[in-house]
Amino acid sequence: MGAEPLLPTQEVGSLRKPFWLVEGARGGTMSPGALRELADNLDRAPFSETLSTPTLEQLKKGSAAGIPTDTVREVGSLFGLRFLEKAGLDLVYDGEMRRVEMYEYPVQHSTGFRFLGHVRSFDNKYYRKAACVDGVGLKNPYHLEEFSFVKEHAQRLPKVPVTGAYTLADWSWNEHYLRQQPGWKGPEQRRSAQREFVVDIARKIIRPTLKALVEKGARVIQIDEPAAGTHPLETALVVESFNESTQGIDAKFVMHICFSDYNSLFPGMFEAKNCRQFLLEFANRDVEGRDGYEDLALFEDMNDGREVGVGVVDIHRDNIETAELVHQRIMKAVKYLKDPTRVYVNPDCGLRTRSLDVSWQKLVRMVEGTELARKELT
Amino acid sequence: MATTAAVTTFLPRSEEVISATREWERGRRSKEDVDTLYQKWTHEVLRFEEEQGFGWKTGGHLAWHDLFRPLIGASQGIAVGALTRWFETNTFYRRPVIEELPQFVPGKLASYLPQSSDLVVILPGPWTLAGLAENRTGRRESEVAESLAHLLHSVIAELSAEGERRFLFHEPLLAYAGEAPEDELQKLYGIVTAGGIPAQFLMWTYFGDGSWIVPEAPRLGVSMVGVDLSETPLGELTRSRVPSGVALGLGCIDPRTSLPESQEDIAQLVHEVDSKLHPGSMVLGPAAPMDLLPWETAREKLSVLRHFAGRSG
Repeated sequence: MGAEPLLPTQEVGSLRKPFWLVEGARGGTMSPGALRELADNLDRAPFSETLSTPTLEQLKKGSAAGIPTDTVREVGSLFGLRFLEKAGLDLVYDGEMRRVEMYEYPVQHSTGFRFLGHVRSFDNKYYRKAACVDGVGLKNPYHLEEFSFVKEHAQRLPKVPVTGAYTLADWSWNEHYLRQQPGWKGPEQRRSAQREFVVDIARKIIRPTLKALVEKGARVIQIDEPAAGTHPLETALVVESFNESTQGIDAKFVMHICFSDYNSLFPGMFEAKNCRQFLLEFANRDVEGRDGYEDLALFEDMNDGREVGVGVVDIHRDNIETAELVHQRIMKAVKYLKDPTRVYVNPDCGLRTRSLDVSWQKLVRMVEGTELARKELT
Repeated sequence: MATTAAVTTFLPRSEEVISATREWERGRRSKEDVDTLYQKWTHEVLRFEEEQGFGWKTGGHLAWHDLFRPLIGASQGIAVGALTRWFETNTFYRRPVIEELPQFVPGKLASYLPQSSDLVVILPGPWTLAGLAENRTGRRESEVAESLAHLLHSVIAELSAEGERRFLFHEPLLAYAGEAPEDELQKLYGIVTAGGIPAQFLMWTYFGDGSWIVPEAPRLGVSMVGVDLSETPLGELTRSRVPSGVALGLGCIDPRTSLPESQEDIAQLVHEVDSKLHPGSMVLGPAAPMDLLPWETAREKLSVLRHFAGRSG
């Protein structure tokens, strides 16, 4: 884990969970598909640790019976970590192999919430949503065990992702804080109650969790705020929640936002004072006839010298970007930001909707394209 | 002043339906099973609406994936496009992509509607439909908007011939944007409601302040405009004007929070609006689409409206 190279490459979020991990965590017999996937990916994630060997050997034989679920999950974590390292990334995590998703888990470690049921995201896709029914609090800081495991085994610099306060609030219903507002809950009352909700999450849930992670040795923490762009007039609240969450904590903080209108978020987001890097999606908007990276001019225009994690591979499409295309995209970012030391290279977002095979190829091409850019720049 | 209450938006699918649709997507359940459950729950919704004494019934429009999808199915020339965020919510719709000027395909949309008396058919309003669709025809936006209005007119004419008498246009974009050129809006509504169709046309706005549209209702040919009272400051609404013969819709059940509204707060709201605007009638309903909530929560929140259903004086 030496100094970071020029144009450090990094992961963003979750990988798709392998079938063998999902089936293995349930115990019992593994399906032929899961076994095939395990065999196909072993070269991509070489396991050398004795910890995983007996478990892997048993899984390869087709049965997870008797293996403790936590052990299977540790093997999954190790798989994700090695997968990203072997692809050649400089900053890694474990592909969030232990996490169900990014909302329920933090909520389950918090107090004041009650899950009410499923709501539709689109078509026949749904997510479980909780209501804040009381003042929020933290049962216990989370992600600690997961991070310690990754830190112990990582051969590259680990970067731990944490769902941000604004997103947790936006994806929940606000009952408690709204109830405190007297009379009719019109626009003004709703906004006031939402601010209290967001700031309370930042102070009482996120900040102590970040502190605990730093005490465990976290040096780079990525705050995920996918909801940041949902309400264009609430940028100041996103910023306030970030500043409240990170206040007084010594670590490198990165904020990840994707699939949003950056023109409505910036320059307001520059007020997130503890944020050393904005990690953003761009490849998705870089299509024929349109320069998807032009919004990076915002960073130059505002003379804000912070790092930018630049999305160079699209997470919504299976077609694999060539190394040359990645190279071109990086050079576009360098052109806008003017200083290559400000540029980090990453996928647009987590690759969980792509197969492991597609994810692998995309990441490898991303690393190869970065090498081409490094050669050009040095 | 008469008040009534009604469901004016889609309702959420029950946990049973959700579970079935998920299993169907995973190949573990048949389409027939899912359709049977849609029917069962549509009946549940109709029964609920009846029990509450609501002014009309919707059946929940449970099988509709979004506001536009059945209309796309009832036309040629419109494709199902990319997932797009549904205003400032964490839900998404498939953007209608206009590839060529749309042609009406008869006999498709009725299959999405339940058999029931006093039904209201929810449709995208022409402004929102045109504004949220993607025009790939190479033709002018106004020409495409008018062709979409003609498509809506054809749908309404067909459903009206089959006995439907009440059509409710959802126009969130009007409220969200806060403005629209009056002549263009009027032209689109003129196309949609043309031809002496024996039906009542209603409008529901949400996701923004819709108070400015209320005085426009007669020129648009709609006899009710609903506003989202979680997004419309009460002061703005009470400074507006309700034309004679137009019912004012009060969107007072907010699906963006699971907190139930209190009967007292709603009663006070109704009193305030009545004392300042003197509308001939008011319809109390959801502030925004109720499918932002789980079914049980939506049902509980809507139940408070039964106290206001069918009141006069």
